[in-house]
Amino acid sequence: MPEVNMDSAKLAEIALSLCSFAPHDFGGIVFKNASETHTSHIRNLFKSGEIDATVLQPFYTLKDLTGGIDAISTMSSGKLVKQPGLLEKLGWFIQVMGERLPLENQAVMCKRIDEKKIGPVLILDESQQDEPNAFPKISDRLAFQVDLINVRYCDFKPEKPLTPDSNTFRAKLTKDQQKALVISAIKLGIHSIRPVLMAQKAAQILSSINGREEVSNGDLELASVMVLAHRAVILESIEPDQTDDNIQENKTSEKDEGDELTKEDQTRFLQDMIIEAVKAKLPDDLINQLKVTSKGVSRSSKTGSGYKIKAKVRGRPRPSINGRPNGQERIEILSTLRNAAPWQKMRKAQKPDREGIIILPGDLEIQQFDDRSERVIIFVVDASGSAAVARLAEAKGAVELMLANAYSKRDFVALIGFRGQVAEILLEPTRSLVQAKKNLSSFAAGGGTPLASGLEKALKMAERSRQNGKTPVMAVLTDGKANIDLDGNPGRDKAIDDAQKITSIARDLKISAVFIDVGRQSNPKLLDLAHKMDAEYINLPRANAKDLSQSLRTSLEKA
Amino acid sequence: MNTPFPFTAIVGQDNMKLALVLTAIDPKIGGVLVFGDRGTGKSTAIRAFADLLPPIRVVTGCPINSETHADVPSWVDTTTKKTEKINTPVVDLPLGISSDRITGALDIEFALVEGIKRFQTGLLAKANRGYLYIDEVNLLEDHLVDLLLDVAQSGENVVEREGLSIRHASRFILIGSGNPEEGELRPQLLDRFGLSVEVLTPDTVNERIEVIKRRDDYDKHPEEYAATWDKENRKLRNKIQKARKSLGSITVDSKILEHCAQICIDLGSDGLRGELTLVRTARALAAFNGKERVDVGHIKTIAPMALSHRLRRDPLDDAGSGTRVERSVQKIIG
Repeated sequence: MPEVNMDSAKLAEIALSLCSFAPHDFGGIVFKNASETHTSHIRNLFKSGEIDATVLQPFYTLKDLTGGIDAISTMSSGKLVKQPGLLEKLGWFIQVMGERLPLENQAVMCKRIDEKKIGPVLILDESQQDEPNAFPKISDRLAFQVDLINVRYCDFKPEKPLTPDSNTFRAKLTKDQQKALVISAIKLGIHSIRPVLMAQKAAQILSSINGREEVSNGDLELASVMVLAHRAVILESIEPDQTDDNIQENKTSEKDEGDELTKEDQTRFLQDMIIEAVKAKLPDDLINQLKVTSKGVSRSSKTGSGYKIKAKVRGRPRPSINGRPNGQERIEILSTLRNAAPWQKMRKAQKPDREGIIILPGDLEIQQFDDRSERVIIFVVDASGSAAVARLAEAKGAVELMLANAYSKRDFVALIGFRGQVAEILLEPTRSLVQAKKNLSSFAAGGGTPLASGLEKALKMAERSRQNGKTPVMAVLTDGKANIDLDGNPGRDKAIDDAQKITSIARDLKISAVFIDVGRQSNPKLLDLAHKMDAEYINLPRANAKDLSQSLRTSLEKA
Repeated sequence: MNTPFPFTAIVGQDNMKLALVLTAIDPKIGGVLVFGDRGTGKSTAIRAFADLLPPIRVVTGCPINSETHADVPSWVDTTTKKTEKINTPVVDLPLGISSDRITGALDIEFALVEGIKRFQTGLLAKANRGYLYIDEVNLLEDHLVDLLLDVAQSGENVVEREGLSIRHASRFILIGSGNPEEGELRPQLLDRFGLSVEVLTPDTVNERIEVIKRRDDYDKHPEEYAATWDKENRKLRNKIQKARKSLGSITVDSKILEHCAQICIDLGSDGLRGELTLVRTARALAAFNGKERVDVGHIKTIAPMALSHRLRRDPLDDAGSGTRVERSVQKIIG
């Protein structure tokens, strides 16, 4: 398989070519780990002037994207000036800082991709490797993903000029190839049909580019790697016997065709080839990541937004203020007109030929909004020791009850469990009960009490939530009998020391928290920790899920 | 993408297709909530459905699709009494839309340039007598949800802002789609949907291959492909129209009503909306099947879609709500 061992730069090149051949069929490319050099290289690719590319910033508003009335020019010129939406432009789109792309912008872009009204979109994702995908909605619609982490010298460029080419010719795909593709996708845990269609088209175009009438197996393989590899979620179940049912099914449905066995072998062969190729493409650390994904942990409902600009455009209306809108804010029409009204006679006298109300920029009033930012409740749950089994069940119940209520509060809930040597993120911030249940059911109790590690993970998550524009609150459920330190070594004194270090950092960062002591008697060390963090301390031995969520809610209201 | 994918060419997804068709037969059933993962073809189906619906008659130039001249609101300056046939409106409500685009607002262009106060209609006007489609309904901003609930309930859009005071009829069928993993819906909104269906990607190889083949054919030559399904689409459209006519004469005997009540009591669903929807939907199904009376089979078919989203959620119970409904139906009807 020589082609599959291609480096990322080569894959990027091919993906760019494919997108330019069929600008509406592939949606575009996600560039992971795009550094500044990559970004400027990709932007420069389009600078030659032959092809248009529009750079999209994450802070662009929907009005920027879809167009609207240009209020300032309208007023100063006295006639209506429309502002076309950026997405209406022809050619390519480069979305920089993809990890901060707000959900609304994604939704608008997705719709245009679905309608095939937008050229290829290149998203430059600069997020950290361990962060969950910030734009799941749109990345599902973009066929390719290229990881640029090991691409040092940015010299990739498309083989063919980046001009959209009419795409009428397509190499033929055999039935076996098609079937193999479908089965491989199922085996890789890809449920959406979209990627299969995209892989098929990619294979067809690849073959056509190379002047083949029929799709070669090599092209099919390459296309599968490019479209399917980054979407794969199941690796464990890639075993031959798993798909026997499917094969059986094919057999019964193809009775009318003569050489059944050879056909089947052919499909099987192709299928193995595709899966092996996809597997080979996955780096080791990605495989670990995949295992997490298959549990659903890294799929979070985060929006990637978090600009403070937000506060100016949504929330509860407040009285307007005088000023000039900068493009994100809304003009409060009524107050503006009210400001302009007394001056009309005078202004009319100065400009007798102007009709209608004369509004000057100084009249403008800007709508103000109060935005109560969304809260993330991070549960840090002690799952150590055998006595913790009941406690863990209660904590799980409390999380679910909180979530059931979250719809009205607009809270996100996350869960970190600690036991044995280290803490583990069980649930990334989410609002989804369905997802929470799925992840919570698999977590068991037992082992030591690495309190410090739990707090550390919570702290990191809290910081990340804050970067995303949410307000984190920590809820720590433990008996406080820490006996594992940050490095995972046993020892009570060091364990408590480490925990105290983390709490003092948390206090400096002004992260609010509630400590719930679930031990039989109140633990002075835990009380001390809570005080170190200026957090509330509640002693709740033998609380059930309902009581727990109730008292949590009360104290969170205060926090 | 001017020619939508033909509705009848959609492989599988029988529940979703049935739910959509039933609301077309009896709009009083209310909206449809479609839940499913990414890439299951939710949006495709709904856009296709728009194309299938029988046309409606409206007063020419009326912004709210009034049926007769008497229905045209007073703030619209039309003089014509002419009517025309248009496709049933299916209006997309994009995420991140502002509330004034939904309800309508002061026409900024007119206010700024002419200095005249004029109302510019919003999506609620456009959707009157048709469908309002909200993709990703679970991501919709809270205040917009409140607004939509209010209008859906009253059938009237009232705008009192920026010195305007406008009201107009806005009766529409809500269609929402979403991915439950991305966030929950609040119960009030859930209850407002008549039916709910869960869409899964077809999981057999043959079905999936068929999906891909059809999609591929469609992508190559949309118009020609749609034409090959025209006959099927027309057949279904006629069937819907026939069912609409016979709907009034479908009888529901007291035995059936009793069953419906028992099922709802057993499931502990709040309010009477569940029963009403159950009966209405069963009646629409009977009409669709060309029957004269509702039988237990109809109830069995539609109970999960009419009730599963109305159950009081018990976070500590793991059984899916669909299964709970089926269990209950089994117990009562046998």
